[in-house]
Amino acid sequence: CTPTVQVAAPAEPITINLNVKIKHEILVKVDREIDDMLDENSELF
Amino acid sequence: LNLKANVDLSKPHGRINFNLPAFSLQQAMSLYAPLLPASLKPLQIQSGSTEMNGWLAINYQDWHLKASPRLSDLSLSWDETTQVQGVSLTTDLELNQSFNLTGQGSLDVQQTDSGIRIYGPRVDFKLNGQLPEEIQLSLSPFSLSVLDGIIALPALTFNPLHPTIDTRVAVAALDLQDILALYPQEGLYGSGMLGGELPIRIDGDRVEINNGQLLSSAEGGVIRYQPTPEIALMGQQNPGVKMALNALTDLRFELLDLGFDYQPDGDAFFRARLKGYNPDWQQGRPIDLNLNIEENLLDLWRTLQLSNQVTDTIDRRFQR
Amino acid sequence: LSLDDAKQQGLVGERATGYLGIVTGSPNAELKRMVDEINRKRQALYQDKASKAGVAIDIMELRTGQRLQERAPAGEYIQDQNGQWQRK
Repeated sequence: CTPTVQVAAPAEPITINLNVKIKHEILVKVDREIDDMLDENSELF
Repeated sequence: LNLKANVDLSKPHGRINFNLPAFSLQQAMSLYAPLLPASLKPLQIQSGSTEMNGWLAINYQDWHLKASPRLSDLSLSWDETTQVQGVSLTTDLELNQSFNLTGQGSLDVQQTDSGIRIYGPRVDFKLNGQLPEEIQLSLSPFSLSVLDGIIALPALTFNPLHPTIDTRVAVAALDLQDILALYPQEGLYGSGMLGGELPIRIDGDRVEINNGQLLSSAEGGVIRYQPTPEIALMGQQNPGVKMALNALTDLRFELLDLGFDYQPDGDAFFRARLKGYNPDWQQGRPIDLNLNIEENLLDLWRTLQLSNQVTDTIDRRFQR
Repeated sequence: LSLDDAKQQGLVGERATGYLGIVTGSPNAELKRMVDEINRKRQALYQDKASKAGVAIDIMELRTGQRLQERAPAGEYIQDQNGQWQRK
C-alpha cells in the first residue's frame, strides 16, 4: 500500500493577545465638558 | 378637587373624603412649570393623566390620611435624550400624625428609549418608613427586555431618596449581533447567544459593575471582521494586530468568555476570551484569542445621542 | 431678579451662539448688567472647557447654545438662525 501523508492541522492552539483602547470622537469630549459646566454653574445657564 | 366632609370642629373629630378627577398632566405641567424645582427643568411631559381619591380621618390630635393617586398612559422625555412611554402607576398610600408612611402599588413602564431601547419593567412595590427621610422602597423581582435578551433583577429594598443597591443582575439570551449593531463598526459582524451575571452596585447616581461575566451558549457563535484601510494598515505595522485580524476574518468560536467591569465615570473594561478556529487560516488550527478592550460607555452613549442631534453645521465643520 | 425669573418673564432668552440675549425691547440697566455679566462668565467657562476638550472656543459655544435651546422649557424664548426671537 502506498503511505499517504496527511497534513493534520497542528494540534496546539495559536494564542493571540490584543489590547484595544477605543477613544471617542472629539465631539463627545465636548459634550462631556458641557455636562460638567452645566452642573457646576447652573446659575449661569 | 371634590370634598365631602363631616367634622365636629369642637373636638375636632370627623372625616373628609376627597376626590381629584382625572386631569391632563401636560396642561398641569405647562401651567405650573415655573413653580417646579430647577432639577426638573429637563422634564417634558407629552401625554398622560392623573387622578386621586382618598379620605382624611381626624380624632383630636391624631389623624390618618389615605390617598390612592393613579397615573395612566404617561409619556415623557428627559433632556431630549431619554423618552419614556406608556407609564402607568397605581398606588395606595397611608400617613398618620407621626408621619409614618405605608403604601403599596404597581408600576408598569412600556418602553424607554435612550440610545438603546428597553421594554418594561412591570413591578410591584411596597413603601414604608417615616417621612421625610427614612423611607424604604421594596421592589418585587422584575425583568427588562433589551437587545432581544432578558435582564432579570431580584427583589430589591432601598431608600429611594439615597439609593444604595448591591445586587446581581442575570442576563439571558443576549445576541452578540444586537450588541454589535448598537455601535456599528464598519466590517464587523458577530452572532452568538450570551448569558451570565453582572454584580451591580448603585450608590446615589454612581453605578459600578465588578467582575461581570457573560458566556456563550453551547452552540458558540461566529465573528467576522473585514478591517477598514486604517485598521489594516495598523495590522502591517503590528504583528499582534495582524494575527488577530487574520484570526478574525472568520472566527468560529465554541467559547466566548466575556469579563466585564464598569466604573462610575463610564470607563468599561472588556476581557474577551475566544476559543475557536478559522477555517481559512492556518488550516483551521485551534485559536485562543484574548482581546482586552477599554472604552468609556458614557462617551459611547453620548455618541449614540449625538448621531441624531448634531446639526449639519457642526458636522461639516469637522469634515473640513 | 434671577436668571430663571428673567427667562420665565420673557425678558431674556438663549441665543444659538451659547450666549444670553435680551428679548424685551425696553430692558432696564439692571437687566443689561446681569446679561453682560453672565455672558462674560460664560465666555471664560467656554474658553476653559474648550481647551480641556482640545477644540476651538466657537465649537464649545455653538454646541452649548444648541443644547441650551433644546433644553429651554416651553414658554421661554430662543433666538432662531436669522436672529428672530421665538417663544418655544
